[in-house]
Amino acid sequence: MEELSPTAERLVSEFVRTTRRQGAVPSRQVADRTLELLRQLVSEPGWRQTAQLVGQLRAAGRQLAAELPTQPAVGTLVCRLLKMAREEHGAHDEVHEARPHGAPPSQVDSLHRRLTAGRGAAPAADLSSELTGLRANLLAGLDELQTELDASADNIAREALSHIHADDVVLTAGRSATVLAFLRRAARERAFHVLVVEGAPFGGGHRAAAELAALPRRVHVTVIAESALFAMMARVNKVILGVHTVLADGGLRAPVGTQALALAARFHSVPVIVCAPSYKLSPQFHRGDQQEGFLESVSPESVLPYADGALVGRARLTCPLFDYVPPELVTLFVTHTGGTSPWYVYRLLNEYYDQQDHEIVQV
Amino acid sequence: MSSKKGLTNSLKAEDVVQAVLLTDNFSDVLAPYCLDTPLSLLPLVNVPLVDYALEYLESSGIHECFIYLCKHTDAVKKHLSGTRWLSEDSPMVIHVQTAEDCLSLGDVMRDLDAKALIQSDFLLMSVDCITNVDIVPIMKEHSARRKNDDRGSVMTLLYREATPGHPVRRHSAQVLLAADAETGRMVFHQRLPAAARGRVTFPLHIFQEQSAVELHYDLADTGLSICSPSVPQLFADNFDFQTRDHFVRGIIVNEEVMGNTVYHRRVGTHYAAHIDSQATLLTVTQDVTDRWVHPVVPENRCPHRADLRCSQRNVYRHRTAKVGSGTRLEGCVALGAGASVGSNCRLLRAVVGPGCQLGDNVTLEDAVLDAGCVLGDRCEVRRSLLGPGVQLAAGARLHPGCVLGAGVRVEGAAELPQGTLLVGRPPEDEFGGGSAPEPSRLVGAGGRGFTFLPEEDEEDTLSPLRLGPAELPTAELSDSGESSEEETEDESEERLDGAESPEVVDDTKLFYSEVLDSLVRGFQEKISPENLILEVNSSKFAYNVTVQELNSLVVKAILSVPEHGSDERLAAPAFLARLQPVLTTFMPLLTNYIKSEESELSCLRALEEFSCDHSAMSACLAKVLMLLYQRDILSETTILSWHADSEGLSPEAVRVRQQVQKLVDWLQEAEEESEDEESEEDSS
Repeated sequence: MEELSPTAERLVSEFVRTTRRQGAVPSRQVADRTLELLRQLVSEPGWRQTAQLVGQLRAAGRQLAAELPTQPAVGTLVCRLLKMAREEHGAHDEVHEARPHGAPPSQVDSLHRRLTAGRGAAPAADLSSELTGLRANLLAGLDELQTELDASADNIAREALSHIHADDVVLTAGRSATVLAFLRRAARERAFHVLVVEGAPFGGGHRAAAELAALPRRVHVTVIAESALFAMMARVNKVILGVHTVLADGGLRAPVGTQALALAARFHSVPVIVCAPSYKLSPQFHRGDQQEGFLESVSPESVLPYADGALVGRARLTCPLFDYVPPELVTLFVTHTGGTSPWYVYRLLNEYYDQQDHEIVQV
Repeated sequence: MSSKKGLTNSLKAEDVVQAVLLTDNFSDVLAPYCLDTPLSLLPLVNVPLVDYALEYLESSGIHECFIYLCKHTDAVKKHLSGTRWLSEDSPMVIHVQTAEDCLSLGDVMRDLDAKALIQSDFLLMSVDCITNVDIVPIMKEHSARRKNDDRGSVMTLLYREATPGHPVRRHSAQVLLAADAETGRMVFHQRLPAAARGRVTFPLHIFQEQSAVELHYDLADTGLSICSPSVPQLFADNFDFQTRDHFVRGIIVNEEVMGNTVYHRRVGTHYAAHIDSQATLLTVTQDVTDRWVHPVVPENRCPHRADLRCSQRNVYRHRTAKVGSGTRLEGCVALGAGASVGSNCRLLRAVVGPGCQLGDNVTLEDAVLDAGCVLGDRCEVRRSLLGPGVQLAAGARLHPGCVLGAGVRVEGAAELPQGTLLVGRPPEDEFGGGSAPEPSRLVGAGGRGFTFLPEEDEEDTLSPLRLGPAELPTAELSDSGESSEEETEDESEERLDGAESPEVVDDTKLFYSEVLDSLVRGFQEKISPENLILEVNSSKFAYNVTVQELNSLVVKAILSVPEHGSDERLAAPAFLARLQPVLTTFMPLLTNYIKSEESELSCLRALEEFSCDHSAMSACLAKVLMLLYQRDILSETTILSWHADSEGLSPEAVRVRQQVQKLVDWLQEAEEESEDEESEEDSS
């Protein structure tokens, strides 16, 4: 297994510390900081061959995924960069090997090639050579990635009009910046009704409802409690949700309560649409309830104040943050490139990440 | 170091956020569990306390931290050098201060003052405080108040709300405080013993001076306080300040003189607890495994998070821990590195330290096992603390409240009754010599363990069990919270002794006996009254006695002089005969102290209280009053108003007042006459 260099080790543990300290911040912010970390790792002069860089990045990715299992953006962005590095190297090799047929390098990963290459033959690309300009290219690639992140909320919101129609009743839960942008965009053109599930005990739904109600083109906003979900679902045309991580099987790690919501939607045959920026798409799988770090619990203070001496210590209180939602309960993902069915998430995964790197985000 | 210095230099001096971390609690409340372990290395869910504290300080944005090592300095230093805290790239600069001669918080503060290490407001934290409070904004609040509103504000004490009877405060000294409702300025602070019941007296002036006063009995101490840079200096100026409570009391009492103030603040929804007893240690352990202190949770404290897995029901298993088949980890269980648990065990709210070996069919409930404990098959441990390396043979049973120190070995299927305290090595004989103490019979033949005797002078009157029962009986719970209404009136006389905090009692009692000694000596050796006044005044400052207390105590002391040294009580005539010369001698003293109407009243009350339990005195009270009246020490208006104010009197007091009825009648007549005269004069 790859080892981190001391400088990289310091950068990574500093990153872990800061991220843990910040606690609950929007995942977008963590993504930006991860890109910053990756820039530092790439510009570090310690590596010369591509293999060294890949080794460093894989070690960093593994450590980050283990230390910050609840931050989806961290591992996935490392994988994105790894894929970039491998592609750069491959493209370079091919140009220099001056193929007799003059095959364009872009075909390197085509479906045809994959099928014909046979197992095990292709991946063992030799990365041990030194490549001039790789560092600059990767930094440019990271800048592109940054642009993609910056635009992703807008790109997702662009799809809003094809999903939300006039006089629709839309249901959403908690507060997700991506979903809010999506609804805001739709509200510019159409009048519709939004039911916001409050997202107890954290109350994100309240803030989301306040923001929606403050829009200039008035959307009709109704806030409901989690317990009222099933009763209200019959009136709903569409459920639009944010997500914490999209897992490799198309399932979700989503704020707690989402599975109940998705089941209610399934019962009433209401489509569930999930807005997912690309950095939330992870090659990670859900492996059952015992998976540590998957269902992070936080302080039960918001369930019952610690000051209440009559109950604290006598009753067991837990406050989990996440739910697993199986892929069959999700109708459609809206990413910055458009809609995707849960069953085609694997295609996106192959587009974004190299298969060799999938394992580093498995905790 | 250069990079670190760069960091602190790049900030302006007053922007550097400083903290002082005490690694000792200067008491042995946690003995015998950590008799030989330094407090800072005491494991809480298998992580030393000092790591919690440093991690907290770093993550909350403290730039500079002074760690004070007072005991076991080498062990703590060794631990610190093995961690990342002292490495160069740590964002927090840590200065390790060794001060083995510091025996109290006061000594540490005086040392800080001597070394002039503090430039700005700083956080004072004890290593036994577990918290996730966002401290920097609170510190900013304190600084802003000091700059804008109240220059004299020297300290902000942080409290966590917790209803009376809450597990986190049930076994600790209770906090009772009164504060200005608008600003949070504390005007009264008192500690009550854990199981205290009865009345509490608040001085009236605290209600008169503020427009609104909040009284709090719903707070638990957090061990966190934010101090102004002048605090070390104040400690240096007042060499009798030993603890924070002394300091707070001193500041509040002398507020008008010194102009310094103390504030309190609640930490809101954050968690903060101060481990000040073994019962609290258990509670806090449970709170940490219950994730109340999130993000301070066991898997985040582990150097490599991936090593410790948290599964549902808050079970924390180290990667290397082994669990046998059929074992139920029922909830809130932490298994340390290399721990092994046999088959068919049952663990509930238990911490198993690294390297512990548990046999089959073991039951642990509310138990904390330090590193390397070995438990045989069928052991049962309930609500107990086991120090490092404790060995229990198969079939041993520990009832709730047992604490076994390091290295205790229990042989045979022994049964340890509730509240057993054992240590692994014979207690040190302070007087030297004497035969080596016998090992306790409880540990069985071949076992090792000596009964631990807590030191006598402790204020640990909380409960016979130092660990405390899991639940107080409900009856006790229900009325410990509210002041009991059914208490009869005659207790009002005992308020001074009964309900005040132990400290207050001690101080006033000490003061009283000291004053009495000076007076007796003064009377026998004919020392001039001026010198006596000086002596009394200096005692007043030494014991922080208020002026009102002083007046009444001096009067009482004078009255006890005649009988001083003899056990039997004198009859009324003999007593009077002896009292008269005493009073004449001390007349200058009385004239010095009894000047205002208020002091006259407190003098009268002292006379009354003294007479209540002294029959001879009550018989000649009228004569004494007459004498004082003639010497112009007591005015007739005060005597009359004292006598007229007869609300809520005990039967004795009523009897005493009847004794002086004649005198009062006479005074009243005299007054009327004089009024008549005056009016005549006016009219003429």
